[in-house]
Amino acid sequence: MTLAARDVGVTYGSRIALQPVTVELARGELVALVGPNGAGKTSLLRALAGLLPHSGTVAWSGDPLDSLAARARARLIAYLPQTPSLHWPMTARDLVGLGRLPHRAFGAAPSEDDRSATAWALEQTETTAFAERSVDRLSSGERARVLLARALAVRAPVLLVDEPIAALDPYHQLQVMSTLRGYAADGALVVAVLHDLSLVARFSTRVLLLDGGTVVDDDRPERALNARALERHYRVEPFVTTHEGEPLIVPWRRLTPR
Amino acid sequence: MTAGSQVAAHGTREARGGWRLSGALGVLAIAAAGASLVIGRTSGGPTFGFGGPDLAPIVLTEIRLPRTLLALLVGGTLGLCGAALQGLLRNPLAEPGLLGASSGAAFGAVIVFYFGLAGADSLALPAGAVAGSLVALAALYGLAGRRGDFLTVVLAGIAINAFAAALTSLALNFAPSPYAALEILFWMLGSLADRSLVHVALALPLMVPGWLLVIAAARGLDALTLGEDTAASLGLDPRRTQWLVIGGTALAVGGAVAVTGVVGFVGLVVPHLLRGRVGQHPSRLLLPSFLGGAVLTAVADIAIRLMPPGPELKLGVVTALLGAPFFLHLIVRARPAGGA
Amino acid sequence: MPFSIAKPSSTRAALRDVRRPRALARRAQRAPVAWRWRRGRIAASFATLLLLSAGARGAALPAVASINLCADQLVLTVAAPEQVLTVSWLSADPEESLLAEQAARYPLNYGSAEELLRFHPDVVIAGAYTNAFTRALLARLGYKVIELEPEDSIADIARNLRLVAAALGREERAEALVAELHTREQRIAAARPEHSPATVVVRPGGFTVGGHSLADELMKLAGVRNVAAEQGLDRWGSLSMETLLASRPELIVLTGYRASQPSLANAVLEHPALRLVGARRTATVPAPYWDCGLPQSLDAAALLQQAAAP
Repeated sequence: MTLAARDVGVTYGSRIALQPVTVELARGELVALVGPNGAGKTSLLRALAGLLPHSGTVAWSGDPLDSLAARARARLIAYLPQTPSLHWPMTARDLVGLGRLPHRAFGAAPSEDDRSATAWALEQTETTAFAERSVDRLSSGERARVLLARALAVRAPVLLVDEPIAALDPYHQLQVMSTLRGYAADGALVVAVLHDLSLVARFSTRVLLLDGGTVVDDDRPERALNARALERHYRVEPFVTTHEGEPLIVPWRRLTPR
Repeated sequence: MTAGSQVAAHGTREARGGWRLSGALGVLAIAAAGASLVIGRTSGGPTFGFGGPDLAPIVLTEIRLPRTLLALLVGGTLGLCGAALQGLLRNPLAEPGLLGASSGAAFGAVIVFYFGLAGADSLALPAGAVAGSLVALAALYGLAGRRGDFLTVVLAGIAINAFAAALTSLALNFAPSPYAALEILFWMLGSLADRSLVHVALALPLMVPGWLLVIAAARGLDALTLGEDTAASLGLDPRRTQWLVIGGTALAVGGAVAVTGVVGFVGLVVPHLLRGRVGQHPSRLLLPSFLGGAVLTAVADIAIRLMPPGPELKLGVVTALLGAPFFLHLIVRARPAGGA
Repeated sequence: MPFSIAKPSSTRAALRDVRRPRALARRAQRAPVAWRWRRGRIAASFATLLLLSAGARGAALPAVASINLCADQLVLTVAAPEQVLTVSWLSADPEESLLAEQAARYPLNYGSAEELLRFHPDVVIAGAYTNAFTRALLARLGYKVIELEPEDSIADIARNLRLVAAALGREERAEALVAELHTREQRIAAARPEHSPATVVVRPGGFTVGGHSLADELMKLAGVRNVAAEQGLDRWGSLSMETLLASRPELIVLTGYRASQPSLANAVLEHPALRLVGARRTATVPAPYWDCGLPQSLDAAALLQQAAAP
């Protein structure tokens, strides 16, 4: 089962944010969308999520997403935005429980499945300890993990996340990345916009490198994140090495134009 | 206790809590209704009872009953729509009155009054009120709904209220006589006095569909807690939620205002008081707010009847006297919403 | 006739006199047989509410409740004292009503349907702008509700007198009053001064009276020129200080309405320009004379004539 994008492009008025992209993403992959700011990563992610008007089609297992009912689509694709908002200070558990909305009919009480999915999501993000606490009493990092738990609770085959680890401390960054990797390994497709090149290199199975609205590379992480590509697209000189057999890429020096 | 059973216990405990609140409010509403049927008002002040066997059936069915029904229905409408608007705009300061729905409805009704299109009983009056309410709410959402932050919503509501008030003043300015102007002014202050079953019949066909539309938006309101993008990704289109709430509120509040004039602050106070008891879920707030609004309005109307002898106080005045200090308290205490 | 304004304390005293038993006592004074018969009818057919013409119930005159200030005063003028069940509370206030003392002898109502039910009226007199909900409910309950349009002319006074009298079975009384009205009207018209002074009526808040109103007609009757009407003002409206000065009024008419109570409206009357205009003459015509159209309203014309006389 694949998520197939065919000629998906995004324009905002006269500005082309994303040139038409054709790509097939399969279950079991943790796909990292990387690239400099303004490259079109978020636009691509949101187009895949169906939140943006876009040219071309996005299909899951051959069925165009547009042909699906809203609820069916919501059960298929879970999305976590870059700066999620949170308006009512409910408990963390209740918030995560909102992720089960696509599975619940109108007026139905949460089922056993809903409750266990919520509990599982809280465990995965190590937020069970403050599940009963009101979210406005959490630190921003704790809140970020609760919001990710909400996306996980959907148990959707496709999980699209936009910069999920930006607010987290190193422990939790590693924890979330391994959770995402585990979720993909369980048979889901995870697409994540990420900036931390080391974590991308270590955890993702596939990298889509975008720049200026086009996909400039689509390859395994170690091949896509080579020094030349980084110098050209990120304009940084990296320091590349390995540690314990895994790649370690650290942006070292800015390359100023000559 | 294993994690699983902990989760299960929590879930049922919560559900029971929500229904218990509604149950308690329901009982209060019935008690208030009972009191409202028994308490009346004459030149000598409050009376208890129905004034003699020959008058009793008339007083009960034609005077007390419509008044009691309207207090519950209009109060319920205001509470429900207040809760829904707060959920839609993600803002605890939202209510039909503050956002211009009520004053828009009032202006629509005044226009109908003013051009002599309606006696107090005809269908033109509620139609005018609904139209005015719809226009006001659509304008509000156009101005503030997209970004939805605190300040923008309040300011947009103030602007729309001011505009509706200005237009109403214009109408008053050109009123055919000072008596007509006074009649309009007093009507706008909001009252349940001397309403008949005709008015109940006039308002219900507007209120009930309005309530249904608003209730249909319940899950969408829950999803909007996480913002519009996430709500859309959960399969609950924010646009659909928005139009359900706006349309439902316009219908229901329009119908209410057409019959009673402008009764404010009920939709602000009630959801606010109850939100903490339903775990902050917008959807769980709807029914308790309806019942709470019914109770509050019925009690305010009973209080009016218990005043010492003299001309009857207007309901809108009483709710404003209760609600405005509460509103001030909210502003002083308010913290920015969200914070992720 | 003295135009004194009663002190506020008498109003309070008047209101204190309201006692419901009076209504019952009054009803008992009427033919007891008719009264008992009527009560039996109500008990038997509560679903259809009563009240029909005086003819159906024999000799007894219809019992009337009035819920509007102008209607109150017309009723008090036309009705036999035993007919009147209740009048509105405003008519017992001397600042509002010419018949305050008379009104204070009756139970006062605040205009709600539930109150009026308890008086068991045969007919209810209201104004065209009385609370529409009350009027509608009373009609729905089967009461005969007479709605009086505001009086905008002396002819309207006659019309309303006749309307009220017809509902009350007092046609003869009305005709006598109308005849008196016309006689007095002619007398006042005959006594008009040669020179019509330019006159401005200044009401609290800077309001004045325009053309096509009762006040305007009374001014014409008295033989004074209503400057505001000449400037095109219709019925009612406000007059700016500038217009007032430019019109060079010779006579300024004040109403003295609630002069003892501080109010923004009355503050307008303290405007220095008003004093500087130095109109030779000012007159006070209390508001109750022309806010409602009554036979007594002609007293206002008489007073104006007096003030206009050189």
